[in-house]
Amino acid sequence: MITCVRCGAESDSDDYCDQCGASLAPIPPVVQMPSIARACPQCDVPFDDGEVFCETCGCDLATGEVAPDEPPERALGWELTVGVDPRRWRQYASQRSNDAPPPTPVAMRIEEATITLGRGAESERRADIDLAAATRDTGISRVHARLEPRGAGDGWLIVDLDSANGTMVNAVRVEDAPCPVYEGDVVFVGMWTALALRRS
Amino acid sequence: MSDFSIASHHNEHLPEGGTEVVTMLSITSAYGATTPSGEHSVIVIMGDKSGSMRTPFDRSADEPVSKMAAARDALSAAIDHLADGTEFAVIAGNHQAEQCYPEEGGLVVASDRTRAAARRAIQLISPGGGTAMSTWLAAARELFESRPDAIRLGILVTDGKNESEEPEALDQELERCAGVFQCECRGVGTGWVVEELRRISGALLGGIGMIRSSAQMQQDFSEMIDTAVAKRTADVSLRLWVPRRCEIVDLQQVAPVIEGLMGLAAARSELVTDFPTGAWATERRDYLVRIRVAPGELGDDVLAARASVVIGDEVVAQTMVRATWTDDPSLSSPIAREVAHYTGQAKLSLAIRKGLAARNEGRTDAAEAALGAAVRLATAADNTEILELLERIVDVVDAAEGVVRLRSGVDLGDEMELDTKSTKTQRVKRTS
Repeated sequence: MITCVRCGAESDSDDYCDQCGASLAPIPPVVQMPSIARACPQCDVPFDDGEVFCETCGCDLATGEVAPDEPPERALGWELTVGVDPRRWRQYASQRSNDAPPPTPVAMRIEEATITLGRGAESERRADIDLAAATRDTGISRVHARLEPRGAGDGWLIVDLDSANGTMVNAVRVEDAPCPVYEGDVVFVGMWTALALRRS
Repeated sequence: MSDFSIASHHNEHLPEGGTEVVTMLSITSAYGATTPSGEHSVIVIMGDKSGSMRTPFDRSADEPVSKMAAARDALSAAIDHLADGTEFAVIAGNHQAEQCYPEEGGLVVASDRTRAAARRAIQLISPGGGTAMSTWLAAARELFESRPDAIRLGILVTDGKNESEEPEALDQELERCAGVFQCECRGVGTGWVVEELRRISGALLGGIGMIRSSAQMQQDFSEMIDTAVAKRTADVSLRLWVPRRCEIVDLQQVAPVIEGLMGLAAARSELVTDFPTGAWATERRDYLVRIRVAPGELGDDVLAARASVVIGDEVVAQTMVRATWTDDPSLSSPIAREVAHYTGQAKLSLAIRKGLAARNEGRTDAAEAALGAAVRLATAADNTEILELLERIVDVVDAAEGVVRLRSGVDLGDEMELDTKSTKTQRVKRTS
């Protein structure tokens, strides 16, 4: 049985939903995450994700200050963006009672530690981060998934905690084993929630 | 036992906002020469013995032999084509049905002995009385109802119109017969009504044909029996699943003949509809399906239908009818060749029937417009058989533009033959 992302029905057929006819193939990520300034604050030269210092003028891209002679400690802070995949939001429109525009993405700083993700703040089995607060996604399980640092600023692993609707990294469903998440990957949970991780 | 396949031919690219998917479904079945059928056939022949059968085919023609005499000979010859093991019976009908063979009622298994006995009984049929076809169908139905698992095929031959009963009686009997047996219909001479036989063949998944001479009758009867005997699987259905919020707008068989099937739809569940197609031999049939789908977003990939061949409740072949939306007109505007071909053939058929109806009602302008369109379509499709028949009804002024004039002194038989053959289609040519 596969849960159709469009109508939410359980489908016996695994190619197209046997209720609404939608393709059950994984949807390629089309989510647009909010981007921060992509040019150096000092010299205005664009830079790529993951760079800490401007390659042209050498300033700290976060602060605009010229780098000290000695390289600093590697930044270990991460930013988790909790957003909405607009296409899934649209596909689930029939399940919602309104045509409201998708909620705006919320970015939050997270430390390198094991973090549980889920829905609801009041529940006894409460996750560290309430994703539904940002996306109003009722398809997220109470305790849905867990993020684990791979260590030494080397990114993250995501573990699906036997959630009802599963967890996908890009177009691949996370099965039992922890799945690495790199910068630029999009993690899908629930009906329309999309997550992205980036160094900050 | 059988080898069925089904394929969908359509342009899956819909324009932005497009909600109609049109596809040609092609079903083929193949049986090896030696594969045992597993099911046996029951064939019941319903022959007209009304008083009008005493007259010759065509009073003006120089064929003096009566239709009854020709039918006796043709039926006797056709009986020899019944394969051993086939169960059969012959009903002679006028304003009531009488079983001609076996006289004691019921069915008999074909063998040298029973075929000879049937031939003797057929030679003794003497014409008289009126025509009430519902009684013939009812008698046949009772025989078929005793063999629900067999391949059940009826053959009805008449030379006159159904004048000894109210039309409702025939309609009611057709409702009872639907699903019990299939019926192939033949009209002999020019005294019968095309629309009437079409109603029977349409309701009972059969074909319709016109017989104009004793030589033609001999050949046609034998071919009908051969076709019936060749059937190997009974009660095959075309099953369509369409998603929620979608709808089957139209389904018609388009080859070998055009036959609307919407009236035979049987809902299996909320999303699944079965359309009976009767018994199959090694053959191919094509269907044109129109489905209204819920509008999708650009790039969406959906299933507009799942089309299956079903025997009993077993799916023996299946294909998917996909749809996707694009803003590229070069993708969405082409019509699949197969769909275009049969859409043209359906238009031709409709133009002929509309034209003949207008002609009979004395509406000359409408008749010339419709038959002109038919000439134009038949010319474009290079359908020489239909063109020749059309040219007996109209004088063609400009074939390419479809300008025609009605002819006077048209032979009634020619008109009926054109009407009868108007639903026969040419197969879409394969691109090699």
